[in-house]
Amino acid sequence: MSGDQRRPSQPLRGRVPLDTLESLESLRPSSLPPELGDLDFKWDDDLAGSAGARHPDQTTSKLELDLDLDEGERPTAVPAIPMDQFVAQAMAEVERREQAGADLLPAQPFDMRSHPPVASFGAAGGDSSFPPTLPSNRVLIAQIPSAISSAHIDPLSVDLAEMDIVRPEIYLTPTEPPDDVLAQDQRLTIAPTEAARARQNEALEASMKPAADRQDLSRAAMKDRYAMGDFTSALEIAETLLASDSADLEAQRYATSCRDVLTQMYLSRLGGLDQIINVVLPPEELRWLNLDHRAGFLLSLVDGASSIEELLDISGMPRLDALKILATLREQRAILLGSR
Amino acid sequence: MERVIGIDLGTTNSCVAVMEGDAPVVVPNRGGYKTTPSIVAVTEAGKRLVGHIAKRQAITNAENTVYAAKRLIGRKWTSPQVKNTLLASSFAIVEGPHGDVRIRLRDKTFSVPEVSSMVLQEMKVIAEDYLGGPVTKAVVTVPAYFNDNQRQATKDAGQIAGLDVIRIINEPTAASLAYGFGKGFDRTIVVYDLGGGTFDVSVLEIGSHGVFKVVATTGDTFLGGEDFDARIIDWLVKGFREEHGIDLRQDRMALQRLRDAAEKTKCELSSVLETEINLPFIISTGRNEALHLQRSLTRTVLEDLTGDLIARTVNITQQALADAKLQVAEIEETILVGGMTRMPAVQRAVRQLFGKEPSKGVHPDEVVALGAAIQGAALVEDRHEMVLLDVTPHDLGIMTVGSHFEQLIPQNTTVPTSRAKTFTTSRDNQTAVKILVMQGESRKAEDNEMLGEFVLTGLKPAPKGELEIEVTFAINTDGIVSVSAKDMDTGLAQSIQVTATSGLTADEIRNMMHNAQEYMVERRTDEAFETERQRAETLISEVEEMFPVVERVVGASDFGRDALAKARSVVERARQAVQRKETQSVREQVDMLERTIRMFRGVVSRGN
Repeated sequence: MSGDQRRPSQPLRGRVPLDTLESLESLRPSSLPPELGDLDFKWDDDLAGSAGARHPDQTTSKLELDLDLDEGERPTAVPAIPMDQFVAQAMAEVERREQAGADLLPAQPFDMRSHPPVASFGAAGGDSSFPPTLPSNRVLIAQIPSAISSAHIDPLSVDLAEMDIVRPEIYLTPTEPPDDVLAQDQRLTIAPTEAARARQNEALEASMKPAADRQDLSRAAMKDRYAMGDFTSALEIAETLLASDSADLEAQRYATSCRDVLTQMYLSRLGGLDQIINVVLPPEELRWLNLDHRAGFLLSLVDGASSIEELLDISGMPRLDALKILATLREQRAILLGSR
Repeated sequence: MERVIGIDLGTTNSCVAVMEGDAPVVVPNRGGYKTTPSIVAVTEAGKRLVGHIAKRQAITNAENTVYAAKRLIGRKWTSPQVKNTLLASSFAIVEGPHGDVRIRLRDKTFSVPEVSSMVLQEMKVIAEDYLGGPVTKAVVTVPAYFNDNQRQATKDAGQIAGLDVIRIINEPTAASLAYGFGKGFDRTIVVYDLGGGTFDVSVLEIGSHGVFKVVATTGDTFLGGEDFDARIIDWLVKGFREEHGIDLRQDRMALQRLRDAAEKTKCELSSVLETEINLPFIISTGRNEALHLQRSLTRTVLEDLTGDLIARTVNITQQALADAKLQVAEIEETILVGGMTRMPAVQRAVRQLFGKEPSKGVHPDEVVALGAAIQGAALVEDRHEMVLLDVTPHDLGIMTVGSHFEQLIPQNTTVPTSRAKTFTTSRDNQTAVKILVMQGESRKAEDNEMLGEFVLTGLKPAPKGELEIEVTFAINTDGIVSVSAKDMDTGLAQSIQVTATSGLTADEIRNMMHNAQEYMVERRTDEAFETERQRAETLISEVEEMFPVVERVVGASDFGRDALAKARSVVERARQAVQRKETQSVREQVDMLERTIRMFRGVVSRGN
């Protein structure tokens, strides 16, 4: 990483007036938060020489942070390409992998004792240019299942959400497992990573600090999660901040941006809003899945003729939640998607 | 000749039919169903949903889903029916600017005819898709008890939907037409109509020359199939609470599923003796597990649960016979209308009441629409023997002293018509009289609907009962009622013209029509794009599948490389056009893709 690649060409963050929703909207189209929209995306990778990969909007500029963190201390890399392209590429990779090695995805019911751990991104033999090269000290999520596989877990007790474990590494390349993977179910008796322990300590310390300090910490955590590509966690934190102050414009921006990116991700996994959904598991087998009532409700709406968009319209659920559930149901092979 | 569609605009479901040759046929909607729920909803994104899709989210989006708008159409804000509906409604009902009723959905307020027009527009689209061309004329059915304002509001709804409603006919009359009554024989019949939300029973005298006289009509606007569903839901909820201690009614998603399951179960039990209700993951416990609902329901239990509802319909039917001053034995035929009449217990009750089998030759869900289609065809084909005469739906008269209603034109009088009656003053030296024009069958004026009022002044002072004032009612062919009062002594006269109104002004109707047209243009544009997009994507897949073969056959030649490059370019352009949502551009690329496929096929066939 070379610091001299970051040359400021825009006013520093905090000096740009963003006091109206109008200005907020005008900055929204980027999948990155508006104030990060002018970043040089190559600040942290080894591809600095390939000028063609630069986002058209991202001319030379300097990364500016709210916190007094040195940029070098930030724990991850921003993708080398614009986020929307990054997501699209990632999803293409998902599809390619599914076609190339469908056996990597466990059939239902998922027996973790009988299935080998999912190969890590690199091991799957994917395109070496994607995802961006990671520093060697980073831990891939894909390594987690191997820990799980040795834990002798009752397959029927595996939570639906756990199934995410086998996939996020394909399009997210965080330095450590995202919070939700670790926190979703205590039955996953895996030891927390160093980073997770650090975060738990952070959270403990944060709970002992005054509210203002806690908010600052949360805000920093939100930005970090966002920069790491952990949009789910970033969104959760943004929503927590908004719960205490609904007028928090920065949290609003982050929440909107996270929702946009996550929506794109789930839609890419599902193949688009016009896909027709069919339930492929018979009712007695469906019962073996560990679903919640919301998934049950969505499944009850599937009639083999309605598209995803129609289902979203009639479910009355937040779109992002519904898309996430559908994507998970698809991974569990409970539903099948196809053209009309 | 222009096709006329017949529409049964029901409280819970609507149906559209057309004549195919000499026979009427019901037109199925895109989902293949012959009836479409009369439900309109607006989603969070502002999208309009009509029909089955609206029904499927009716509980989870209850505040923004309108059902049974028919109970409100043409009613005044102050009417008791509106107050009753307010109590049970999940959507917001507000007072309109003309004392009418409006419905608020999300951030917009709609008039009731506007909401009904959305359902009519859907029926119009269904018919147009089936007939392959535009439809502009319709015969729409209404309950026999609808007054002029309600009929006018239904006509306005048709106009907003882009339909010229050439005739409004009574539902029992339409049902009788579909059964072939009115062709050469006289009959006294009962039409027992148990629909999704309302129960109507009508006694009709049918003349051999196409005169359908509604002798009596009564019913309950809050009794129908939904009440039967509610009993099943209660039974399921109670059972689940006893087993798990959880009230499923607290969760909207669970309740929506219960409602769907209850309706399905009820329908199944009309043909089988027992059925299973299976709702996996109905509710989460909060302990990281979801519970399932699985129960069996027998027809016997369902009949126990709903016996009192059926008994209510029997009582109302007996009341209708009493109103018509007829004995059970005088009823020659009974027609069953409405989906609920498929229930064996309902058929049994009707059979026991009348001592004979009810007519079941025509599908009870479709019979009204079929009759409307028959009438529509008769009107455009000028087949006089089948054309119904326009009649006054209710008695017309004025209020007299003591709040009595004095009838001038009785119900079922064919229009145009004119009747006069002489009245006198009720007080000594009375110099003015107030004429209150009313409509209804009650002898008490306050139970009837007021259509208008005017005052005749300048009367000569005289003892009560001495002056003679002639009141004349006249109804022209357009249904416009003129009422005049004339002092026979002085010749002084005063008059009023009463036009049925839906509560909407002409400008409002014009604006609503404009909005409806815009909506249709947008919808048709989206549909056209969707069709082209699907064609393009199918062709793109086909081209891509052929690439390896073409590459193998001609890839080594300059021509082959050139052709492949061009084909890839066509595919790319087609994808871009789809992404830009440009229908015309996609259409052009579809043409290019088809040419590419023809060329590729030639290459492949030579290669083989």
